[in-house]
Amino acid sequence: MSSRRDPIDPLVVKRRNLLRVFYAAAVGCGAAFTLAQYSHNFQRNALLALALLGSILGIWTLLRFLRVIDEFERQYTHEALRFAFVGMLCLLVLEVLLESFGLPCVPGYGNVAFAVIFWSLGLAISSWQRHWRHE
Amino acid sequence: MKTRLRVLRAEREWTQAELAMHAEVSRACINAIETGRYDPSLSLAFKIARIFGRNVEEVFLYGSGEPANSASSENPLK
Repeated sequence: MSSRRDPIDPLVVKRRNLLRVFYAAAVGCGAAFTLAQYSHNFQRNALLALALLGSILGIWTLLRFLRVIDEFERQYTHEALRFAFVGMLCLLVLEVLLESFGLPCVPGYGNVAFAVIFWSLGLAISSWQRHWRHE
Repeated sequence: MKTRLRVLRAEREWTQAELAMHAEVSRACINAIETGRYDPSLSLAFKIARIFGRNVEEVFLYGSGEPANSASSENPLK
């Protein structure tokens, strides 16, 4: 039985591909936004339009990913989303506080990047916890 | 919750991945159920039981190995 090769689950491949597209869109979006800050006129508008398209693609793939995962994976992502939501709330409160003391404000796309980072961190932590809690 | 999933799977000579494909969940989900790290939802429990042609209480055992239907006699609400 053990010598038999496991079939490749098309749903697993789909989930992996969706996550890859999501991260590629997030990185591309961040790069386009950053480049747009140093560009002018037409080039800047084109880069912002590209970043907007990238963000739409990113959000769409994230929603697709949340739809195709099974109930076990949904627990992971729920914990990760909770982590990201609470993390973002804390960060935004901290930003407002620092701004009230006269510190420069964080640009909007910086907060989006932090949200993606928090979600990724949440995914890593929840899978790590689940793995080691039952060892 | 205890489960007889591993035994039933072995009877059919199925791998975890094959059962996962039938149940339309990930292999990690089946592995987590078998090792007691995850309690499936009612709908998944019924789905798995149906795949093996069994009742749900024949596949999943409540508590420390007692079948779920025998626990009803100790129901404090009765």
